[in-house]
Amino acid sequence: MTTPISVAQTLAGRELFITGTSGFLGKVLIAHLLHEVPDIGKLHLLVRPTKTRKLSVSGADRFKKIALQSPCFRPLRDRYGAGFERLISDKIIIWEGDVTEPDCGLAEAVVQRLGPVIDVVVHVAGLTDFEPDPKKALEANTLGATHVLELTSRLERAMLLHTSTCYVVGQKSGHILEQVATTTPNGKAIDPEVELAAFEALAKGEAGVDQRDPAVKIERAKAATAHARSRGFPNTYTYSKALAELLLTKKAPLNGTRRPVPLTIVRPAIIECAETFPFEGWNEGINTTGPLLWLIKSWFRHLPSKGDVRFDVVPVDTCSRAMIGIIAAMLAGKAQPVYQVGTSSTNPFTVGRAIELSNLAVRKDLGATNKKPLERWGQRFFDTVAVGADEDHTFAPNRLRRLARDLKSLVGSAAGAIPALRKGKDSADIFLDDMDKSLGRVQRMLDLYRPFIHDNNWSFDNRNVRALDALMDDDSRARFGWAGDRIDWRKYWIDVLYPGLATWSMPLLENREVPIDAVPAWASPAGLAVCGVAQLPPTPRELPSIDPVKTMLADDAPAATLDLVPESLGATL
Amino acid sequence: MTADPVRVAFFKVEGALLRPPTVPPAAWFVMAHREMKARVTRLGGLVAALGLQVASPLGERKVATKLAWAGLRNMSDDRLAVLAEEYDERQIQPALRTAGSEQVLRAKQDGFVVVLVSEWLDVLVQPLAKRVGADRLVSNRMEMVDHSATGRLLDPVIGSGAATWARDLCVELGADIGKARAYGASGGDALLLSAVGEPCALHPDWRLRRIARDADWPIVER
Repeated sequence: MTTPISVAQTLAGRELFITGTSGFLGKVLIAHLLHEVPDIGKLHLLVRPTKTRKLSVSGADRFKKIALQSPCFRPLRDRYGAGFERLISDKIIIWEGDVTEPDCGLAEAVVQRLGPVIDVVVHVAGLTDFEPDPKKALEANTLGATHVLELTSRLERAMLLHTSTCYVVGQKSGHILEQVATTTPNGKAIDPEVELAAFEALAKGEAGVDQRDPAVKIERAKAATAHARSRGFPNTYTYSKALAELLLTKKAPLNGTRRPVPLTIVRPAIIECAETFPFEGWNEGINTTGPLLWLIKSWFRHLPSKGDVRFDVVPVDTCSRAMIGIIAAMLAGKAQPVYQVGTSSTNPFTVGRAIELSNLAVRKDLGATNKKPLERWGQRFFDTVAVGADEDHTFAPNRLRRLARDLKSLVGSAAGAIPALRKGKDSADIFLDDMDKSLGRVQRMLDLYRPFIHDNNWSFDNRNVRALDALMDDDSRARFGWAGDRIDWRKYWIDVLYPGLATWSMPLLENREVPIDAVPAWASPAGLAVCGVAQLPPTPRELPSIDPVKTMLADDAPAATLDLVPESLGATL
Repeated sequence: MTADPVRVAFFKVEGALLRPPTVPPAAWFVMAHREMKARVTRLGGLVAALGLQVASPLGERKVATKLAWAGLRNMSDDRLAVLAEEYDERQIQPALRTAGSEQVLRAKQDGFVVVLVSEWLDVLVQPLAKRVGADRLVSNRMEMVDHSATGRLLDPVIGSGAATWARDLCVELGADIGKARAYGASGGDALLLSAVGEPCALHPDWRLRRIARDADWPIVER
């Protein structure tokens, strides 16, 4: 009889190296580990320093701010109080680096230092823009993954947990199994190295053309999307992540000059607001559902979508629980190669239901606001409904844009004929131009979402993550077992997700700030210094005398930062 | 040693426990239907139902009830649940009669099995039943197919008329309907009150008041 896995005992004393620590999922994973596995050894966090013309912030300082002020770490600050800083200095080590660089931008001495101690590398970093600059997607999502693999192979015994996405399946509806594809979604043979070369050429752009020109960048992004679609992927993001999976799967077991790396891939579906950890509704940045709900909340009426398409949403803490369970299974030698962390196959939720619950959430929200009764009544009266994407509906953005342009032309003609109208023409032009631009952004957003809410219908098999429950002991199952099947979608959508997005995401769509927590009263300047880069403890091997701070700074760190707010999506709204 | 016999107390929700709401529940739902066309056209059905209720003999209440709820056709179970919650908060809770809830409490203290009776949908009345501590709820239920209302009520349809379901419930509970109590408020409740041993007109309308006086039933008003 197999001994059940105790997650707490399996992870006790272990050391993990984690990338993507400043992202939504990465932060929750780190906080969740510290909260639920207090005996974990150390978490080594790769943090990219910020270096722009106006601002320079070290990786350590970036993390300090997160630890002390991010709402994600509230449960830990509340639990430990003044002892929180001690927890951080005991458990966290910050390494400045960047996944877009070989060996993640870590100096050789750091790699040597990490070699004997790291048990699992957890790669979470990535760019989640649907239509990014292909150079950024290539560097962050594809090459980033291979750099992490190479680093892992240089560590003595580390395994690699790579965070991918369910949507690497591409535009291929149906029940999707937990396996890495061997062809493109549209059935063509694929050689990952050849594909990588093609992607690199695309990212580089045409010779002799200024690639920094904004118009050239837009064209390059469009060309990358077309390239991805030619292979059967809905966008550059899913293409870059799929390519990463193929490259990792090919390279991880190779026994060239590097150690073969035990590889596990975790594919979350659409990650959204936390159900319970760090607290109900927590979200960060502009994820998938935020813009949709923002549209539904406005006067927008016809959403091009299909009601019966499955909308696979998974709360971020359901995902982090699963990942912790997977890490324990990896250390126990019982992990599967691929885990799909989604709800569509066992607790399905549809686009139609999402629209209905969103309408109801808006109704409930408007009932509680201070808006004027007429405005409340007006917005509540207009529920959003699903309509076919290819039909020219009354309120279709493109139709309304044509109307706006026709009106502008009409106003121009009228002002030409009747001098008294000339005064109002400029204001009318501005209003109609703004309307045209806004509608254009809405249409662009709808085009990006179309594959996910209209064109394809996926059901992601999740038997591997459910099977983990049977491997765990009772305590581990209660804390890290699969929670996706228990989600009450009505309660989650109306009482958790909608209020969560309203607080943490929608303000970003309206160019407003989201709240962060005040620096705790117990955080003294001396304390802040503790909450940062720990001094390296002495190792048996003699190391040359090194200034740890200088050593940990990556050479040639890129000046631009990865945006938390997806550029392409943010630019459309 | 024989157990004490089970005694049942029926409370009609509409009128006896609740004051008349500002907005009838069927109208509340219909006006919040997702389809705009449905909101407009089905209000006509509600008006017809209301007319039937007012103008017709007691036996036609069932038809009026069915007609009123037919307007919910194609409404999702999510929408029903959320609107019911809203209705409970805005219409039911403020309308709870003190005398009614006191009578419920008294019945419970006297050891009665408290049964709430309503012509409204179960989803509307369940929170009230829980709040007042009722033991059972007899109300109308909407037929749902694929999480969507068909507009048809499941049998038995609770309207006025023969309280066959009350007799069946007493048999199920092992109670003697002759020893049961019933609290009603409208003329349509007369048949239920006639079937029990201890009827009471609680905030009766003019029809029930006349019947209660003729039958010498107690009348409670406050």
